Amino acid sequence: MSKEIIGQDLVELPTAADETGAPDEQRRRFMFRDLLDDVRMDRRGFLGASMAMGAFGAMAGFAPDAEAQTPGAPGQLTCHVLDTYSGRPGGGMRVDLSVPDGSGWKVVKSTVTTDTGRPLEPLMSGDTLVPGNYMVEFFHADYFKARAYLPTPAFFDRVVHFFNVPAKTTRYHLTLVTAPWGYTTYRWKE
Amino acid sequence: MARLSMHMLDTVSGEGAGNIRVDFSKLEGGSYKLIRSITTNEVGRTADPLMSGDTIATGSYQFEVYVAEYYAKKGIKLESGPFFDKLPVRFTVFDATQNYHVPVLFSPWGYTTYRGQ
Repeated sequence: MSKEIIGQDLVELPTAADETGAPDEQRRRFMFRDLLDDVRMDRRGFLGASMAMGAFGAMAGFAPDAEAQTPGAPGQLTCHVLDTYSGRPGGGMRVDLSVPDGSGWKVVKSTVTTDTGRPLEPLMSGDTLVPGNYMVEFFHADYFKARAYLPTPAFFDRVVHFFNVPAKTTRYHLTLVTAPWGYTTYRWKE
Repeated sequence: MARLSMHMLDTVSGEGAGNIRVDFSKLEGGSYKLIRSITTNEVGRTADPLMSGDTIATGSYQFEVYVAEYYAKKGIKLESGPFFDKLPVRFTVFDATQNYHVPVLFSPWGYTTYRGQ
């Protein structure tokens, strides 16, 4: 287990009777906490937590948009990668943001996630966030090639999102919870 | 016998996604060429495999899942409009002698997929 994982505060789960679990148990709790952090459980309460837990297998319910808006906050597009093969944030994955260009797409930002699983900066924020259509690509196969067995070519190459940013104040967060042979990906609205 | 199959599952209703449109395409020369436009049966599957035996070929494929249209038809109103119009689920058949089952569990805001056999 690396230092940054040890350095995280572990969240108390409702069902966790004791906090002195084995390293594997601590790592699982770390992953859980990270997802909770992802959806800001402290601000949104139980519905947010159920969304995060649902993300492991199947998602359910709808985001409470009225609560989820942050009045006056500048718009932003952020992302987060969680690696369920290694049980830690997915640091070192390339993420590209593209805009429509004729009949194809043009990359406007290419970034790499840090050890926290997030890029250093949002993909877009404030003045750089322009309403319109976007594509985000997570370089799934490139990431796992260095960490796990993948066939050549890999089953999943890039995980792609096509979506619309409706307004300058839109705050979208894209999460990829991923392993070599399967992934979950979803949007959260801040 | 090798085959490719899929299963569409709606995690809002907790059921197989019946009557959803899924465009099945193959990557050729840098773009996805439509092989077949599918409408799932009532349990969210197709009656027959999409490729099997002699017809299964290596290559990169896409299921384009018409999520927004599906929820609109069901009469589910989304406060902010759907995030996804269509989901592009992209995968590669790397060995034409294996079985590939591709479930897609979706809601208006996200999806899960994995390779099954």
